[in-house]
Amino acid sequence: MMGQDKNIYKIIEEALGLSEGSINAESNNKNISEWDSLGHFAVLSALDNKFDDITIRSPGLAEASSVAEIIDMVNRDKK
Amino acid sequence: MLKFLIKDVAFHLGSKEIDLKARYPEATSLIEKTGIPFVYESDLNIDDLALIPLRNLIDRNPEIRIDCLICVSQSSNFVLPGLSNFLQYKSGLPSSTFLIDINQGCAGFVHALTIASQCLGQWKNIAIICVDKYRSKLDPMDRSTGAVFSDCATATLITSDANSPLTITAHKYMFDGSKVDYLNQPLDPNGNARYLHMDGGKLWGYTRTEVVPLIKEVIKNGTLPSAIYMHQASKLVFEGILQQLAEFNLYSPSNFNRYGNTIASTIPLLIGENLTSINKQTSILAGFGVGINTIILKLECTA
Repeated sequence: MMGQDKNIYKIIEEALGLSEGSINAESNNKNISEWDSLGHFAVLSALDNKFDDITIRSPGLAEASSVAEIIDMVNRDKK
Repeated sequence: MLKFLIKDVAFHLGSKEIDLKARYPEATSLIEKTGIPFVYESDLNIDDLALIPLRNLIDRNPEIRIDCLICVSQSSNFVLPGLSNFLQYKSGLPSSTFLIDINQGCAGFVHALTIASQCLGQWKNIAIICVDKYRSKLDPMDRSTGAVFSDCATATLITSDANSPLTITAHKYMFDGSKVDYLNQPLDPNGNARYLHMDGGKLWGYTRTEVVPLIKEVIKNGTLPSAIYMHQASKLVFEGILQQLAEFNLYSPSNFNRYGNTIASTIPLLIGENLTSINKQTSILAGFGVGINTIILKLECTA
């Protein structure tokens, strides 16, 4: 696992109010109950704060439903 | 352009207070992020809820004869007629009162004010009622909507004469039916209402990529404003938008932490707490939500 990916895990865990180590590459909005509509809101807000408004450059993040998708988009579109 | 005064705002919040950290103990961290510790639910019928602030408005302004009533709501006990008919009759307003119903959510007050400002040549005193009971539309298992919306009613009195201070000097709006899936409440095939559906991810993206650019356009068009009164969706949305408007250094009052998201009532609640200043300064009103609809106005004091 790359450092950047670990950093994204931490951002998502913090946004969803989860303990460290709760998120992994297989995590998605079906197997993490806290990742509901409001939780996704919080995740996107946290990504914007950390990666300089990345949801504007990467609108697909609004529909991302898995950690793998988020990591792909952030790595592709981060400044 | 006709001038007007925002003379008074009355409100009534649902009387049942719901402590969200007690309701959702597993989500205390998320509740702190949304900035909404309590939401409020009303057991009153929708017309009785709306009548409380409307009657207060009438009682507090006995010298004013309301000649137009604009009712903003997406809640009703009747499919037809519109809620305004019930409010006119029950409040004792004469049958000569002109009635308008607007089926809008969070952009509804700004929508209604846009129409009111165009009607002031015909009517001098217009009351805008915003009332909704979204809590009756929610899936009890859906934390996302349960931790956001409150039941509330507001009544705002708009008057017009030669000495009135305010004019709408700039506006931008966007109505986009291609995004109805962001926030909606469908009916089943028998015509019974299903639960409210909210797609938080898409709504976040919409506020960032569509609402903020529209606000900036209106800010930069003419006199620079000193304040913004924006829809109070949640702390996340409020602060997310404000961060993108930081360069303008606007006074930006909030109320989500005290009332929750009260749909169309969020902006009149803010105005009611800033009534003197809003009639003396240049301000932005920013309504956005279900539709997806966005209406941004610049209210300019020209007195």
